[in-house]
Amino acid sequence: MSEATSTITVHERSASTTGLDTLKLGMWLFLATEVMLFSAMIAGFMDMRGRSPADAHHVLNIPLTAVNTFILICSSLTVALSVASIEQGNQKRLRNFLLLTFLFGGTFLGIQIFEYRHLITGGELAPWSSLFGAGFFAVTGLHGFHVFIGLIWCILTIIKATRGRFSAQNFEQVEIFGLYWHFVDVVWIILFTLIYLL
Amino acid sequence: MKHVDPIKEALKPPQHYPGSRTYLMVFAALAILTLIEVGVSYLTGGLKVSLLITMSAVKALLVILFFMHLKYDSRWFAFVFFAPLVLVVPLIWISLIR
Repeated sequence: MSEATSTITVHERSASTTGLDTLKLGMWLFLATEVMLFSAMIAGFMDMRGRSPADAHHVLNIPLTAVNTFILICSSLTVALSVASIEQGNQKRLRNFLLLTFLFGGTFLGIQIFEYRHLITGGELAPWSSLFGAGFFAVTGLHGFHVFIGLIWCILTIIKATRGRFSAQNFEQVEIFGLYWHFVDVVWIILFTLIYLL
Repeated sequence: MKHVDPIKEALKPPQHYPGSRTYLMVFAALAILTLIEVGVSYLTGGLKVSLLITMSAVKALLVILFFMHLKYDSRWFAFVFFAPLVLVVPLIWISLIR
């Protein structure tokens, strides 16, 4: 390996003297703050739900949301497979799996917007209708915003992948995007149970 | 004592992560658990809450350990990520039992 190539690799893998990948450590620290943010929101929602009881099984469309949950799980699989693809140096599979991720994520957000529209225009639930409504739209809206950011990040990663910026030796940025996307999936797994199923 | 050059360590190729087969198995487990969760949500009684929270926690752990590679990466990342749970778990628990 030439000296010039070594320098680029060190820079791109964000090495540190601790042996830890600083970019990845930074991402995990960020995700830890996200855990605290969502936990505070969820605790607030559960408290509001206690003060303003609502029968989620009658107000919310559980089968539709279950399908949406499955779609988000599919997107997590495609992100994991995109990392596995570039780990083997397969650029084409990386691009295809990232595109699938974008499609699954976009579908998830589309269904969530459809659900909001149906709940509000149908007069069943609105942010101003009850404490349950306020909490529901605040928590799921915050999550939806995270999915939206993830979709933008996904497009940027697809563009970089199309330009051949990643290889079997350099795919850290795909991994970092994957960490964010999987975290958004983890949050939804918990929200689906606490908001829709309990 | 053997000297470890941090630059050389950094230049090592990334550690090997699980392959597509493991990811597909995790995906299948997540899909099946989601299906069971929906079925359980129509039950009544105290067991429903315990079952749903347990299945949700198992699903979240599967994603974190396998898809997010926490099982294969440095333990420091796990420490950083799970440390807030010391505050988070009691907070959610209190909000659930109120």
